Amino acid sequence: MTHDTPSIRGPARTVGEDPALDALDDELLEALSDGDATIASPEVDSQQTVKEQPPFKRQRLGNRDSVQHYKQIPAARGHLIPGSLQGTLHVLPSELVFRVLSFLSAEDLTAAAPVCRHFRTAVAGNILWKRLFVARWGNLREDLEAVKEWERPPTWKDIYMARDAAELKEVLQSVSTMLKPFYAQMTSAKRSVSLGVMEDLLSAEAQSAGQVAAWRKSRRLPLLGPAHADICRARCCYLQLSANIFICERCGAAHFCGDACTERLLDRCSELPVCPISGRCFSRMIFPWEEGGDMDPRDHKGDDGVVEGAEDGMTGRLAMAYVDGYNCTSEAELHRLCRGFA
Amino acid sequence: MRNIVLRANDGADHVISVAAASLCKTVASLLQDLEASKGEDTDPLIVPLPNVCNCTLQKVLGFCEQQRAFDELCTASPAAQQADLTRQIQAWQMEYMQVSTDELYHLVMAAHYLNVPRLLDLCTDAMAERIRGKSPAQVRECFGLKPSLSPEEEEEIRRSNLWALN
Repeated sequence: MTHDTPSIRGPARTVGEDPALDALDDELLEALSDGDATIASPEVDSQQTVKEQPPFKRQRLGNRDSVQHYKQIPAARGHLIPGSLQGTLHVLPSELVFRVLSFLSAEDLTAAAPVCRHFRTAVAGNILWKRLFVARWGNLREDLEAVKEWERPPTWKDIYMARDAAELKEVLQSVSTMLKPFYAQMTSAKRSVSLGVMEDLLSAEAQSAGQVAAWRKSRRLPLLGPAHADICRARCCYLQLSANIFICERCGAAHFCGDACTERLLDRCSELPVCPISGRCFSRMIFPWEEGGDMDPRDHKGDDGVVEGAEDGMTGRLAMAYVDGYNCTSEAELHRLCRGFA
Repeated sequence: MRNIVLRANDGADHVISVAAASLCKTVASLLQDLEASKGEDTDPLIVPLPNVCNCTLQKVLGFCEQQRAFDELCTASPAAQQADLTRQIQAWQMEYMQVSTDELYHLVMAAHYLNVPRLLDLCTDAMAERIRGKSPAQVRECFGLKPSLSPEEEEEIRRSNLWALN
């Protein structure tokens, strides 16, 4: 997976690097207010809590002495904690549900959808899918229009799945029947990448959300998320509320422009991602050789003489052959490569 | 140094150091406010926590103390040992997270209420781990949920979530 990791990890790394920067998105509020998206489990009987969890694989460690001094707390495994909510509604606040779900990959989200009503609404959360999309493909909005004719305004989940299908189709067209299963597997493996912590969205969210809510209240706009389509049809007129928060003065849509800004578009002149709302420039998420299919990774290697894959600790002939083979975009190319080695 | 007494909802008291308490942002901000208004005080500060039960509080405090110890180790040890230390922390966290789903639920709620970001991340990740790679029926069983969707609705959701070629 040497080839595709940079594009997938790129934005996720930016998120992790600067947890102090937080983003507020009106869609977060939207996601939170979707119904009362809570996990409810009436009548949790002791049977279910007694159930042993599958044991985690323990790591073997040479020296664990420093861990040992930790005072063992008597684990309440096998019985309920005194004063627990046995028999009453087992409710997790929606923001925590959202936090849990942000650790899941696209594949897991779709698999978890039929669990119950609350899950169905929670896993369709636009911001979850938007994050996954941006992490996988970067923000290429003009591409989305080309993917498919939409009957209704697509959700980010629709867009993700359509883009995924398009990518799969494109990959499969370029290879022969024999190799199809392998390429299909490689492409669909990208669905199982999960992103993790949402520090960007949740830690300062309380105070910025308060700010935004106060502003909306003063304008007599709905507190939770704007009705985009009804008022300005996504032609928002943003004004700056505070350092990083932008808000539309007509519909009240809020945008938090942090490092994890999901609005960024590629500027044609500078070829840098720019947020059209705040005007902030971001560093490139896409590596030069990934832009457009016409450029071959091996051309890049030839340019500056750096051995591809060397940064991953992969050197030598075998590793190079592996990397080259992996980066082949069609079967013909692979054959050419094989003949070259023979 | 001043000690802090955290009182669980059943009246049980837990004494912790200021250093460990500072991991709980809720307690830390309370401390800051108090110190700003009253200056130094030698009496132990009693913080009643009506939303947290004794057992969960104990577990949360265990996390705070241990993370504190790890933090000190991290700053004290040379860079060469950092990787080893990270492994140790991960192993400890893995062991710490071996709790029933019910306990995990209480832990998440407590971590949220006391505002312990690292514990919250750990717990929510552990919860996600319990959803990952499972069928809906298995998830329901794990979290004690009742199916609230009719078979037709379920089928409908499944159809709309079909990946290409699968």
